[in-house]
Amino acid sequence: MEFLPERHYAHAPITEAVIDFGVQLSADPTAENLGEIRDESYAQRDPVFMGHVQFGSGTTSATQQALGWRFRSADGPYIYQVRTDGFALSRLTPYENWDNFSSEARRIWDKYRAVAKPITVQRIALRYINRIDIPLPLNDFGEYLQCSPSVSPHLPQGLSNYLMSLTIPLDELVTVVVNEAILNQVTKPNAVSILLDIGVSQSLSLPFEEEALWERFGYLRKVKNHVFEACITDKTRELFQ
Amino acid sequence: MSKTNAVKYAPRAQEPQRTAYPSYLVPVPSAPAEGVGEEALTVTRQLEELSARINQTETLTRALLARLEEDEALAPYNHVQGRQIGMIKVRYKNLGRLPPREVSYDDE
Repeated sequence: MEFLPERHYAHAPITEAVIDFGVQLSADPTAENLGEIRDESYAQRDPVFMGHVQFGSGTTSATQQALGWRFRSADGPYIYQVRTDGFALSRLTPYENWDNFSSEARRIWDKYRAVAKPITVQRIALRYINRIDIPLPLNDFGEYLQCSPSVSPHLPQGLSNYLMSLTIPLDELVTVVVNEAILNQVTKPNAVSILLDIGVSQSLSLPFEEEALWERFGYLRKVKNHVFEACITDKTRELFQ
Repeated sequence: MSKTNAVKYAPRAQEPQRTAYPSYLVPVPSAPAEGVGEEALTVTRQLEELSARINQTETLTRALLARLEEDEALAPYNHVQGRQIGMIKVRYKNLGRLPPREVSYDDE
């Protein structure tokens, strides 16, 4: 597949970027142990739980399971999660660039590896959540989005809401998930906000060398950029200049 | 390739009225299962099973919501909004920093 040219935008619409590892740990590290994976730049610590809600006839019950911890940087834009099933680093807006983001992920990932000692890395993924504010009136979603819903000509051609989820196997290893929706929140006057949530993931079946793992992340980033460019139009690009 | 019609944005004038829950299970589009916030998806799966079995809607919904709001176990889901079963929505925000993700059986 030939990738579309990468572009740099002065006002990229990224609200959150995530580098994610799915791992298998040995039985030793507990969610509590993972709390030791500290970094002085990340002052705020919160537990991460999995919640289960059980329904019966007329009764409900809820339980929780500790998964790990979430740490937030003092100045806010970085958050890392150390879980019994993986590691993730999020970069919130304003997004800077891949080099800074991946370097920080690698720095914290090394700490995770040292304490959690994962047996295998089973999955790696990138997820970029974009919010695109399109000025109103919006008379054709297609002017801004190359992936947008079509409506039967026998129906009115106006939408107040939509949610589209596309799962696209790119090849035998890589899967792309594109979630697109209207965000029913007023974030900017005289505009409608569109969520463009792009996930690119790869399952790993064999042990990976550390360097190869990061090279693979570099490839997933190229795929992510291609998907983003493939989903928007020149008119949308103008919004980010 | 034939040109498709222009589909425009048409904000709705008023909140939609509730619709009766159908007698069959409405398929739920699978939600993204990676990244931040995936823990809440477990709730969705349970709701799926529930929707298939329950037709006494309002009472249980209220009980469920009361329980969700009371239970510290669900503290990460700091915003829970429910509607008639069949149209239950669980909306959650982690740290208030993500766009709210929403999963539902049946949109308005």
